[in-house]
Amino acid sequence: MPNDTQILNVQGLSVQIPVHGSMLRPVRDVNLEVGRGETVAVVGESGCGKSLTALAIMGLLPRQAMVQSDALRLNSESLAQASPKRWRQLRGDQIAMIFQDPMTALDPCYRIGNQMCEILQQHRKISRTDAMARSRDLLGKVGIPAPEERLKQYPHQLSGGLRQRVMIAMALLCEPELIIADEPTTALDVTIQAQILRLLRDIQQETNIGLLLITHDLGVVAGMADRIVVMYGGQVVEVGTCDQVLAQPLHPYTEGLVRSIPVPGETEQGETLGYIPGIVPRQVGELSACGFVDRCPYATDICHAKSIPMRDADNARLMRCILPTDGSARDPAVWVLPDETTAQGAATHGSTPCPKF
Amino acid sequence: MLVYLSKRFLMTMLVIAVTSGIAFLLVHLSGDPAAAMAGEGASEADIEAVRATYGFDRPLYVQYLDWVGRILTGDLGRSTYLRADVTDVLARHVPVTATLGLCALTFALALSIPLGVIAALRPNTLIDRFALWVAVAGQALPSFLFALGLMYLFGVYFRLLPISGNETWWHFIMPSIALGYYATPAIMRLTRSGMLDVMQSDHVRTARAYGLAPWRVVVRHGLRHAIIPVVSLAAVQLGFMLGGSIVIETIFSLKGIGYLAWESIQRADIEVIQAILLVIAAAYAVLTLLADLLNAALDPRIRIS
Repeated sequence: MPNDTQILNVQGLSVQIPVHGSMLRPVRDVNLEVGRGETVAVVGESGCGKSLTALAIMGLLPRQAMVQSDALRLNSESLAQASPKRWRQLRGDQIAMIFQDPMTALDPCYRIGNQMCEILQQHRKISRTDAMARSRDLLGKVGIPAPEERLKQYPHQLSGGLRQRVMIAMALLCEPELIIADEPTTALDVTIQAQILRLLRDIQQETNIGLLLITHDLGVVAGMADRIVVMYGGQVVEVGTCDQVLAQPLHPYTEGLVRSIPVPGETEQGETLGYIPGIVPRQVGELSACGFVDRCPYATDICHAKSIPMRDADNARLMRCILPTDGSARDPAVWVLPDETTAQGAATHGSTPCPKF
Repeated sequence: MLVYLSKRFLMTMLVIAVTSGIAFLLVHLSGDPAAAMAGEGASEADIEAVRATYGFDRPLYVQYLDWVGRILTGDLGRSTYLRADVTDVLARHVPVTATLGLCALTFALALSIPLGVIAALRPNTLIDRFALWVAVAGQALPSFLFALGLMYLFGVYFRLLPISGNETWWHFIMPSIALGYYATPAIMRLTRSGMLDVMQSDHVRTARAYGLAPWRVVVRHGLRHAIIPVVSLAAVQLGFMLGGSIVIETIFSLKGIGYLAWESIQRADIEVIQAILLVIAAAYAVLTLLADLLNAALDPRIRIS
């Protein structure tokens, strides 16, 4: 991708958090690029570091978290050494964020219009009247009926779907170049989820912004993303276009994820869905093996012996695995678990879930 | 909102009515008012005469209804000892206590809220430790000791402030600090814990994520939430200061209602005692009502359900 269309460029991003004397490393050496008009989905299970990556890009991590990166660029500006003041100028103006739970993400004490104007007036020299007018227009644009009245309402008077639309309108206030949506539909009803996703996609195409979509739901990704970045245990394990990754996953973790999605028409009733055994390991210290080794059905001695570097695969894809780069090692049989294990897995699914899908 | 308002108002009225009854009963149960009035060594006939003169021979409920009836017309009775209308007596003493209470509360809030906020923003730092130290000292020091310490230091040693009386504003400085300091620890800790909570909340993260100025995040999106329980606490504290400032009023010779209550109890001046109890109870109830209204103004979820 040529550099002039690149909005976000993250290279070698690591986050370390000291916890009770040991050093937690929830994000390790993450590379991410988002181009203008591009939707990049960061996919992974809870605790894989995807939300922390997003917060690090926003400069929103708590004080005690240590963020390191080789490059953290928004457009061509390096943010690695940006002052807190510069961060504040960028946030909400050039990067906007949409959060997971619209029920709590808005301040219950202020009217919708008040909250939107506050953001607009923070970043633009604009009168209250004009700010209200723009807020109203945007509420209309994100499909909220009777926007004039919504401006005067408090968040608790709106439904979850409407509130998430308000969040999206808020994100659009200052015409940002990049929107980070962190699980934007997880807290919503399934029917509302589809509406919100369609809205996000329409807006993204219309305004040609970059969209970084963070989700654990491959189903969400399918219709939305241009590229997929799969994260596991704080590392990026696979990168490719949406179609490539979903049709032919290269990394065993991605393969496990794809297998755990039920396919209408193909998945039989009563059939056990694929799942990945084991739980996510705690991310402490340096890696001395592949991060996925304990849960990987293809694991070899090499995988136990050293950490696995990222490498190029066919069709400009990236993978962090020693398996052949053309996907020829994929074997559906390794995912078929003995009956006993399957039953056990199903029974304990509530307490030790494999990825939440 | 109107429903909420009228409900709250009715509750307040009910509380005042019930406490008035209790106040009346307590005074009458604590001894024979006629005997106390007639004085030591009075004959049985004298006491009977007093009883008949002041109507103490009637059944209690008749006396109570009579008393309530007079209060509703604005007549609080007559002090037998001071030979003055209770209304006039209170009019002289209530402003002193009200001034003291309000100044003390202002001092307490001005000290404890900023301290609480700063402590919450920088937990486990020197500032936090200092705030904790202030709180612990406030809780541990008996208020009379603290008052005497202030008096010695600023009144006697540095000769900066007057140590007794209530003629000028200067006279209120030390008593307000002594009284207000006692309320500081609770308010500070409530502010601190509230701020610690709210600064972790999602809407504060949103405010940060949209680049709002730090003071806006802390005050508008943080403190406004954290202050709600503090308002309720402050109302109760102020009520306590109005009714319970006897020690401070006595030490600094402020002629407030605490001081008046103390004197009246010694003189068995029951009309005054009853009136003071009623005024304090009403003040408590009204303050609670005000706190509820202020909270409804702060948090729309309370007023719009």
